[in-house]
Amino acid sequence: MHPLRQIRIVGVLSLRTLHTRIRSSWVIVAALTVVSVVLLSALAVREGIILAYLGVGHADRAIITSMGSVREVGSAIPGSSLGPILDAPGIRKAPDGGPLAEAETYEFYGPLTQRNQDTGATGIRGIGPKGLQISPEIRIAEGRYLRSGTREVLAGVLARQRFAGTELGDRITLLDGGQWTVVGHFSTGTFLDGEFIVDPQVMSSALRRTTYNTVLVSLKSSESLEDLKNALTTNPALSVTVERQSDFWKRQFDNLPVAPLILDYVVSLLLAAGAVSGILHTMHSTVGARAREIAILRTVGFGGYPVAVAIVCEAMLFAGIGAVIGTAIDWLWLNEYPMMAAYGVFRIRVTPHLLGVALGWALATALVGAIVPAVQEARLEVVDALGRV
Amino acid sequence: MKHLRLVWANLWRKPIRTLFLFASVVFGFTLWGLVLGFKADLGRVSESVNAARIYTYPRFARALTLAQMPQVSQMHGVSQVGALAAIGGYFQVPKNRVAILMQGPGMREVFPDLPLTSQQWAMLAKTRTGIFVSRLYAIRYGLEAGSRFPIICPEVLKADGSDVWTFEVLGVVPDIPLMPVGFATGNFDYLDQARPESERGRIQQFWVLARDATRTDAVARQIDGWFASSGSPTRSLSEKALLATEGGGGDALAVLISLALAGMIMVAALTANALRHSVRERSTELAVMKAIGFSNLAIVAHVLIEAALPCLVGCFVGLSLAAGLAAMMPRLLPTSVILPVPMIDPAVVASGICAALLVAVVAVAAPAWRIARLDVATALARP
Repeated sequence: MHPLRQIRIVGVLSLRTLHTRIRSSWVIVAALTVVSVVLLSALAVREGIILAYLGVGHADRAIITSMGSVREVGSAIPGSSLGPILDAPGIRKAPDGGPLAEAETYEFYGPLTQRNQDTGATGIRGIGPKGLQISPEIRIAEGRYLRSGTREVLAGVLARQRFAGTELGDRITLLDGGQWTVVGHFSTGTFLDGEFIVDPQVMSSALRRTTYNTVLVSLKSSESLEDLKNALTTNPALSVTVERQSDFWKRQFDNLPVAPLILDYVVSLLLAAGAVSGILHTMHSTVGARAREIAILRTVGFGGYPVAVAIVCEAMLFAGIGAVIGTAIDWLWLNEYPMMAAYGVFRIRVTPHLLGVALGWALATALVGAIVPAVQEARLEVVDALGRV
Repeated sequence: MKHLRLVWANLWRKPIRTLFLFASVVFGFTLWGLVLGFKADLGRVSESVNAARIYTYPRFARALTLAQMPQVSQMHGVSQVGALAAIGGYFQVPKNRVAILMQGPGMREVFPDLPLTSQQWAMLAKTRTGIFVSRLYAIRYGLEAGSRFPIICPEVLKADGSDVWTFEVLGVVPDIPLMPVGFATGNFDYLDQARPESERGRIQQFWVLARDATRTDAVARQIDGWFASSGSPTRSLSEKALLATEGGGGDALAVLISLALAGMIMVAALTANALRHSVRERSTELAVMKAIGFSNLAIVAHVLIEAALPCLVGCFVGLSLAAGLAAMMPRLLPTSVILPVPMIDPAVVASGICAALLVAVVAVAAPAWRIARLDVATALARP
């Protein structure tokens, strides 16, 4: 008989008797569930940070920061530089005819009281009406936009979930220690959701600043960056860096002190070794339980390897179920959870891509765990197989 | 003793399975030790809090000066004031963020937990560009006494416009619980004299000691009230309140602890599974033991030892592995990753032993039930 046909027959036979072994196979499912939960938890946090950071940047916008600054916090653009910046070429025109560009302020502020009474900190951005035209992804989810010149504040949807005093009409202590009224909630699907937005002019005067942090520019087209860059960097009166907004946020992400994933992989690898132990035990007893069936198959001329393949596949099936359950647990437990990090609030994301990672790990673990019992079966002489019955 | 030899023989009946099971127990406890060690280390921070200490910051950027110091020290309820400036920048690449605490006047009195001897304070006063670094800090950036440590600070410029500050390491001092990720400390005069004239006298914080630790918050409010309508208003927080903010590690720690628990549940499941198989395969043997007079209790105790032995040994090996990893961690982590080092203290070891015993008891529950119900005659009648 053709080996593939043998494998098919043994496979069908295994499936038909599978229900008798479900009880003894729970440990494979349980072990791989734990491995997947642990593996994906750290990956989902990282996935969340990547999506949050890279989501802010767009290729058709440029961000102007002061020369040498690494982050928005350290960047300072004096008010006197705004004129030449706004007159530069390559900037898209607003409907009113002026340049579609805006000087924005930023401050990392804490301690803020969280809903669980712990304290935390996050960014506060000054974004005016023009900023909203440049970044249309900032949508008001509830309430209304700020009236300019007032001490009003918009809370991002994640900031609202994490921090106390962020419901519509609440008054919250910010920046200069005064009270600011929450008039709306906004959502962007990016890192900004964990922050607050106020009027940039009001923020500047509240903090007694004469400088802005950044200038955000909507480019005529994504190729106009070079024109803008040439005009600004050759102007001796300015000391600024011009960058595509997407590159800037990529750089912010690269500079994050994120604990390396290697730790997560090491821990997951250790737990997977534990799962291998569970698979070994289970597959040995599976083989024991099917001794009669295997002996008959071998006697009527089936080879050893189809049986081995069936054993490995069975382990993989249960391991795969564990991976799916583990991913589902992480999804229910962590997905969209607003995590508080040292640099702000972001959503943890369990994406389909991560399900693939979990399945890959589970199948590899099952292969490693089942290979010893499978090869032992394959090498068994027909006489010995019969002898076990 | 008889029991132990029997248990030992049983454990090695299937060596591959036993080794894998043992490995999974070891790894489960390695994870347990690292996670609880982190928790223990962060717990030390809140234990070391000085309840009388207040940090006073400028409410607006760059607006706190040494000139305000005498006013603070004369306030009612204030016993000591120190002035601190910090140079923040990066080492080699922007990812490696570093900060150096530049100790201004009065810091020695308000920061007695800084482990510098009188001699070292004198060295610091004598050497303007000198710094002392803690052990962790030294390992992270590869420093030792005599090393030069250049950092780039785009936000702190020298009078000549340069943003490179070069320090000379005078020595390595022990770490302190208040600063779990290490610290570097230098001389404020270096910063102050090298800056442009317009920046001189500017500091980042006052550290204030309240006379009465129960009135710390009142003193903090008093300082802020005093400067509220001046040109440089302040924002004061007690050390206790400030440490509750920092870290933001609360969420991450909660997730880590859940993972350690998940790992332990897996160890329990694997041990239970192994024991179930082992008892089932040996039912005839157990029946013989019963027949020759072993009581149910004795046999269950025997199985319990069989479960507890790998768990306890695995616990010790796992925790030792965790302690070893913790000791190597500062060297293994890249320079940009600043993490506290897990501390495997007696409480962590005790929790590990409890977890190991609990796992063994949980794993034995089902087989024990099986043994108690095992009918000697039926079991012996089986071929």
